[in-house]
Amino acid sequence: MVLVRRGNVAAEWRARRAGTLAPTLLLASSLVSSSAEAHERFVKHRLKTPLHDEFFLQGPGLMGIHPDLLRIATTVFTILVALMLLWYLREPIGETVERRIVRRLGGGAQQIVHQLAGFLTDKPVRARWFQVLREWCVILFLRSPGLVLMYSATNDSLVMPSYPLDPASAEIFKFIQVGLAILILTQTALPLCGAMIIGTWIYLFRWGWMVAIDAMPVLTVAVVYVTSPWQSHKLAIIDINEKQMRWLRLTLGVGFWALGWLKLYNHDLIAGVADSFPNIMNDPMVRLLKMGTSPGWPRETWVAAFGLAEVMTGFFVVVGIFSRVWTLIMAFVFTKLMLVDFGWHEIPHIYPIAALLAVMSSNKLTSEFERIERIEERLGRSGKSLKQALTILGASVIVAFLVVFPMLYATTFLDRSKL
Amino acid sequence: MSASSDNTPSESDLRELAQVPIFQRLGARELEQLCRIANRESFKPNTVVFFQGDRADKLYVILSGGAKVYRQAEDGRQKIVGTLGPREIFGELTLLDGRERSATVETIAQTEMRSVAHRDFRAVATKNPDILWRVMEALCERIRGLNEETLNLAFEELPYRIVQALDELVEKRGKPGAGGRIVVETTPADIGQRVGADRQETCRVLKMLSKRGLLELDADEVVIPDARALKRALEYAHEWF
Repeated sequence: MVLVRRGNVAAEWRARRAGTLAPTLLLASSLVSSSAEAHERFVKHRLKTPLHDEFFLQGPGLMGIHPDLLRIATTVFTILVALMLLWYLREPIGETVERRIVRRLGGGAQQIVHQLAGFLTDKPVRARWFQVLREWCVILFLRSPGLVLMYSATNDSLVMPSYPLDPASAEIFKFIQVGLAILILTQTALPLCGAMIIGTWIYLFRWGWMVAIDAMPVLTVAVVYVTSPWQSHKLAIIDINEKQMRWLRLTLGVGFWALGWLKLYNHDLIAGVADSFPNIMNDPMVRLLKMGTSPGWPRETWVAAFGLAEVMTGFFVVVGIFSRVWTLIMAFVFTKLMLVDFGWHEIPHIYPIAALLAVMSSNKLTSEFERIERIEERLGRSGKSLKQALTILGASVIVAFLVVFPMLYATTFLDRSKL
Repeated sequence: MSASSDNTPSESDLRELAQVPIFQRLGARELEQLCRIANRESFKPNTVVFFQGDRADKLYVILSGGAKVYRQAEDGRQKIVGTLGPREIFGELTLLDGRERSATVETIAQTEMRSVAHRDFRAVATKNPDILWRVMEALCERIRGLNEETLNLAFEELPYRIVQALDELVEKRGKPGAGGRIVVETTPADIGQRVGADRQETCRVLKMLSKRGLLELDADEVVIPDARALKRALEYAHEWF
């Protein structure tokens, strides 16, 4: 009897919550329509010399893909396979290292190495310092959009200087942005804040899908806001639960994955940025992916390597493989771009950096490959080592192939003349 | 750490394993077989055998020395859930449910162990199902211990829990000292981790017990002048609050 009543209350609560959220979303969408008049990248992106379009289009190579582009894609495929294998084998490798080397150290040294290994393999790091770091990252993550909104209100723009406001309606939207920022900074009515951010993003998508992809990281914080309690102002939110973290990770990863393909599609834009800021071409990961390509077309190979590096990173974050390592690398890259390469105008990038740090410091990371891992573990326990090895290898090769080649092949057919 | 590699196990090896309760009913042939698959491992004091959350693939039997079993909270705080001594087994939980390690096991002295891979253990247990009954007995004992601890945490005050923890330490880790005294190598932090209290609170109660003559505190050991008096104290520890 009691159970039935509890069930009814829960259902009623869910219905009431859904009933409140839906109109809020609609209201938020209508509020922000006509907010941005034009999108232009705030970062300078004038092309000094045109790129060779044939590099990105169907040509004489295998499957019509340019040999250098194919070489970069093959390198990415190899790294994907290698890291997926490493992910599946992380337990036996870790165990061997712990047994052969770390146990001899004993005491504190053993604990430190264990914590480091846990950090690198997305396992919980049970330490006071890590908890303090996590709490700080969550606070930064939940509040940074408020700072960005305040900044953009003073710059007559919507969220980022890239999206200037229509002068006719700028005043009202500046008030709305400041209002939203106050709600965020005081942690008031967070579900409403989340709905407004999602509404803005839906509007951006209607206005221009490429702009919406660029703005996808902002959805990460909206996911957490929408799933927060309405009484959020009474709570000290210093952790993100497992479900929220999974959605945050998926949103963040899909955003980067899509941005990577967008770079290959709209290659002139990113090449233009590189022409204006040649320093950004000096990236160790991009250099690694470019290895073995002909030096004749450095900008084209750089664009391809940069784009596919983002695809790879996004994929790993989506599926939850070495999430901490990837988000830490990306947080470093974004911070460097903001502070060193582009300058303080790019300060709104603090919110994707905060999202990356929130993932990096989480102790509730999951992987989308847990089912494959369970199969692999079961095979290992029952002594079917060959089957276990084949499962791991087969899954890694198939997934890596599907991540890189079909989409790459498809991009070589895309018409870029209307960009 | 060294594995027994020769094919015929020595008499002492066989005797060693035969003394372990879960293997007591095994015949000579089975013991010999078990000896071949059980690796001998040696651990220095304060060395972690495995961590909470690790993937589990082995069952351990302590031959000499001892270990503490603890769970760690997100912020690193530890709660000791048990102490293991010679002839006790651990790592059996994952043998049954196949999940990750539920707690960390760390040696408290130079410890000799035998480890058996789950796969090998299953093979032996399939032929000798009696072993599984013994494993279940060990598990039941642990569940009873946890039940009692839950009850104590819910209804007993800190002095009672500390006296009980000291009594258990005397039984499991106590060494005879001068004049019938019992010496236990432990610290207030360690006792606090056993009873779920912070160091400050634990020190306060230990000082109170010291004033009552039930123990003497030293840098890294507790001396119990009269173990029977400590046991009797359990009866009136309720009245101290």
